[in-house]
Amino acid sequence: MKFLGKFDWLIIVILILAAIILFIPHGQSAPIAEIYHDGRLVMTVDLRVDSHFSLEGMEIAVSGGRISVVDSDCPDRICVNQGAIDRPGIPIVCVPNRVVIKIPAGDTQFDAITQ
Amino acid sequence: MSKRNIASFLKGRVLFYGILLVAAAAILTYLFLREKPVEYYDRTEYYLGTYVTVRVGSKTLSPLVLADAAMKEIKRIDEKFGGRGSGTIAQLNATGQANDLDNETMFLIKSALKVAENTGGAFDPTLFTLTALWGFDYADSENRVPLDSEIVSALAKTGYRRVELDENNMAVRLPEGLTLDLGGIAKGYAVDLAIARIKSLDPQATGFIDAGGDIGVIGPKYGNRPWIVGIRDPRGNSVQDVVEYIYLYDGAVATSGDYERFFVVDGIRYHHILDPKTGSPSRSGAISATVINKSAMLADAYATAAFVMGKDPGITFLPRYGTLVFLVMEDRSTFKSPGFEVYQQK
Amino acid sequence: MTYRDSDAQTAKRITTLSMLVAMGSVMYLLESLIPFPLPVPGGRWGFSNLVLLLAVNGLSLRDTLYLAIGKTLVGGLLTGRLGTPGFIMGISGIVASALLMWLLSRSRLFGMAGISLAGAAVSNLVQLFVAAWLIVRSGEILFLYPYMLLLGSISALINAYIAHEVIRRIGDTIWFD
Repeated sequence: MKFLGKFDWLIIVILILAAIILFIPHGQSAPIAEIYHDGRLVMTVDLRVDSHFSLEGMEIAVSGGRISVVDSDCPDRICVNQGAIDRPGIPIVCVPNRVVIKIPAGDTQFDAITQ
Repeated sequence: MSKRNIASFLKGRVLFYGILLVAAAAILTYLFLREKPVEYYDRTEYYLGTYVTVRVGSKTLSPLVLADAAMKEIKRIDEKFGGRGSGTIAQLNATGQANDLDNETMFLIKSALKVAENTGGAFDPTLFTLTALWGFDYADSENRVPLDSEIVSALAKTGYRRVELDENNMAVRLPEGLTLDLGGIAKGYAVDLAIARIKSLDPQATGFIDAGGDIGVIGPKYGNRPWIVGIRDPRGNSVQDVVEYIYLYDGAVATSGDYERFFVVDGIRYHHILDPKTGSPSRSGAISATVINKSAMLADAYATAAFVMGKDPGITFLPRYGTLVFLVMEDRSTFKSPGFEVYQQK
Repeated sequence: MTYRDSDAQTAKRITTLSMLVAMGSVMYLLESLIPFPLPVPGGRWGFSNLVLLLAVNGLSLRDTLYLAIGKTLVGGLLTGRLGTPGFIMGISGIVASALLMWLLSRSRLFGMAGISLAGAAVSNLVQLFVAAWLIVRSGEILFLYPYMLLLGSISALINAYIAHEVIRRIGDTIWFD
């Protein structure tokens, strides 16, 4: 039995390819925020990039890794007053616009906060 | 091995075992995909003066159906007990008398009085006159520090012991001026009821319900992992700052803190949790009280009581009623009921 | 008293199997002392698979599987991990990898390095699938696979080299075929 056989390169190439393919999507576990409308995920936002956009009558801004609603056409404006969030736990919720902005929980984070 | 003929080998056993291997891989993949972990569905709505989030997952039913059913229950409780201006309780308060109450209302009143009794009055469902005096009754009420004489006269209109309960006739009588306020336990009751509703549709459903920090567990995460609940840091800069984590497989947790509603006059912080004995914001030394109990309703009520009691010896009686307490004191020291640490491990 | 040929064959088979199981079990015990840097329950380097690598060259599939299960059972007893989730993951991985290594060896197309690498890759994959399916019930753990692949390949290459040297030196004489 030889150390390296005729077709060993095949196995090595397959393994290297598998490792590369599997490494790539995992490298993208960037901090994101998810925006839901009517309970459906309509948007994911990269929190590392500062941005500013409008959605369902709301002005949403990302800056410094935090996401906030800066202006909204809803009457109570609770979402605006809540300020910016950067961690899972308490989502920004705008009931009149049926929009929820939340940061998905990772493995080490908590699911809820008692207050 | 060298003696064997490769061609016949490939035809015979290798082919057979190869097929076996592929079949095994296929079965494994199928089983893995079939046992897909439950996906959780979140719904948040505004009821009972707070945001209620239902997170639910089920293997047999659509989580949308379950969340819908839960929200319907919570909405019903909100309509029945939430508004102070209408409903049976409002009528009772206006006339001082109510007959032929339904089981649910009687149960809530009895539960509230029971907790009041168990805590030596640290939780009291008849404080509404005082709450209004301090301006903590409605979100838009004006906060002010009342005069001592005002507090004394308002205190005369409180006292859970003076509520007269006639269980045979399902009737309640309040003496002149006394006001019953079930707001303190209706939120937790709504959570308990919504969980029971989900469980009646799918006993295997998992998830939790968070009603403004009163959290009741429907079932463990993915059936075998705890829900991780952070206890808010009472002096944190953000609502997301946490002092301690607890791991809940079932039961409920609720917290009362002086940060929820308060105002500051001359550098003194006046918060909304009033001590039924003094009629003023409780000065027990606790700034946050977290309670674990089987029921969210009881957790909510006992959390208020624990906040008022502080490190008072009376607090050592609470585990007797299935209640575990975690206090954060003004000097940031903490107090735990024996047994609380069980919930701090995964 | 005369010995029949088949008696000698059986004796040799049992001796060889026992020797390999004993070697594998001890290696299983020793390698469990080397810390494994990934957060995988029962994660191991896989050095004890060296005996499997030796075995697939000469043993029948049945004996290879006996060896794989035997060394894991005895090793599990020695390390006190018998019946733990990590052990269940390990034994599923070992069985799958023994099956694959035997097949690759019999095809005579691959060398030691290829067989060893493929065996390690399949062992890790099956381990993670079993963990994801039975133990943690969440697909998240599969993200660890590339890291396991990397670590597993290191030990797999070491194994392949040792097995190659062993067979080069002692030849095929230990086998009873």
